[in-house]
Amino acid sequence: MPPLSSLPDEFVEEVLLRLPPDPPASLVRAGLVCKRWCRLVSGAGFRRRFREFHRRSHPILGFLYDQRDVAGGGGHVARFIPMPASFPPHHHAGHRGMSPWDSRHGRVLLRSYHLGNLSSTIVVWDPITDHRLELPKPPPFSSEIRTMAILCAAVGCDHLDCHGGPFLVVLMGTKGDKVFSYVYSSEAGTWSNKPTTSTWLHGEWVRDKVNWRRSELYFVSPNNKRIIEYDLDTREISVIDLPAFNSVCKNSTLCPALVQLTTMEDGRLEFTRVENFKLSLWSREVEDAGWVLSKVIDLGTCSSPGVLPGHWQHFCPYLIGSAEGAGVVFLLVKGELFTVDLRSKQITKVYGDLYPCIALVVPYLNFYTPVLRAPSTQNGPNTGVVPLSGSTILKPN
Amino acid sequence: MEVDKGKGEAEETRKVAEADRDTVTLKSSDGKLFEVSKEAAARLSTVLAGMIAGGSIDDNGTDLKQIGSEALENVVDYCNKHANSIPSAALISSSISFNTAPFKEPEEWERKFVDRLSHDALFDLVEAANFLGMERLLDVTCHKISEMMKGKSPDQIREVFNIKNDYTKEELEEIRQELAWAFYDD
Repeated sequence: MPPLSSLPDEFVEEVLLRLPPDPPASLVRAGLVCKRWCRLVSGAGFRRRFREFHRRSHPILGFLYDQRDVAGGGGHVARFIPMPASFPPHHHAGHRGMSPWDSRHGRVLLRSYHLGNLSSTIVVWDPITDHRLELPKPPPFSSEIRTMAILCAAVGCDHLDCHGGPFLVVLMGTKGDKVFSYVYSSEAGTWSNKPTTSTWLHGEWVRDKVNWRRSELYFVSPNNKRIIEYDLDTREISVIDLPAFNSVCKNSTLCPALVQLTTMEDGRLEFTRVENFKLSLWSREVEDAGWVLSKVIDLGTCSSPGVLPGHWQHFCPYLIGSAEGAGVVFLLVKGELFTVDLRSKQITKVYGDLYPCIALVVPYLNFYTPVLRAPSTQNGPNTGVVPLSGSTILKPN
Repeated sequence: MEVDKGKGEAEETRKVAEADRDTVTLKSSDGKLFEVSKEAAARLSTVLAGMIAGGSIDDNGTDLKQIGSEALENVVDYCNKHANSIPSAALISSSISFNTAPFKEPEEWERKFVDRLSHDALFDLVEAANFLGMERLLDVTCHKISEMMKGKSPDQIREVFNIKNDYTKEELEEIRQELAWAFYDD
């Protein structure tokens, strides 16, 4: 049999390009097959092409959750849990005194958690490089911050490797019957001077349901059965009503741990809700029209044997996270964490023994294309080899 | 002038006759002839499409000296199967480029098509697909080879593909220690 190595580099590269991006360890294993492959998978050009090739399936490298530090007096710890064989994590002990709020485009948004403390700290963290940036104090509404989002601010960016570039943080809150928003720009290094405001109804606002789509951010307020749409270009705020459910929840508030905003394959906004051990997915055929029920996933029947035991049906599953753009939601059942792929309906157990009261997980999605420090090879120069890091900014050829 | 005109007409008649045929004949490096659906060949191979459009298809068998009979038989089989299958919208899209298109899962019949091939046949088919500019076939064959590596250790991958290990033990150990996170289940 002719070895695969008898094929020219370009074919071997085409084969290696098709290795799954999740887990990233598969690239490392390929690099350890022989020095030629090591050189191929470590090349800057290959790594860029790999991200482009898999651009519709950003891997979930891990997730953050808000852990109560019982031993340390009940304080909050933003703990990062990497997926198996995803990448070498920093901060095993977590970020003490912080709580995770949002993650997008390779960055994580953390905020210090001190009730009644107006001077809360907002931190942007890059889990791959472990770079932490503390933002200047936001304008004096911080005690009423309801939700925050982070996103890349580079014009025309494909978001495949942009975590070293400029970013925006959008902060939203309420004051009386007004909703307000402030925007932090990393390029300006400051918060916007004047807030955008809009009239709002009184009511609790859950902070953790953010969804980004092109030029809009969406924040869901289950208690008011509304979604706030924030236009990043015009900085205008508008309100979308949630689906009218024919269920016990009609005319009452929605339990926040039962709903998530998700994104359909074509990029349209989707709303996912869990009830009676079933996930119901709602979408809008036309942007301004009402919601229609597009899919129901029965968690009891679609699970692989033993993953999510059928007799757990009497436990109430909580929908506590959504991997934006990946069509994956995080479900907490009986203190164990599962992911549900809304397209393939595959259920995977990702973590056991979680503190049962956690209210949210913030998934961390990114590509990790490690560079192997290969020993010198006879097959040519070690082009593009830099110290191990997934953060090299690559410019398209 | 009269003669020239006659020649032109004959040429025209021959081209019309060729255009009327539903198939084209391809000849492998070892002289074997294969019939393939003209429509599928033109749709799936940029090289054959160019030859058909340029009228350089030979009725007695278009010479493809770089492709052996086994690989050409597989190419023709793939084209004919493709012509008979209902192509998904994703496959019809002509604007996709091999280098930049996002990954599209092989269809069920494509999976079966490559699954029955030996390693040798698979590698030969990769080269034939590349020579003929058959992006989709290249995609499907390369995907198959990459699937053969799924979940395998470097040792197992070397064994499957008959690749010589040119690392020293010390070199491997050094990399494994540095990248310990990647070997959680070894």
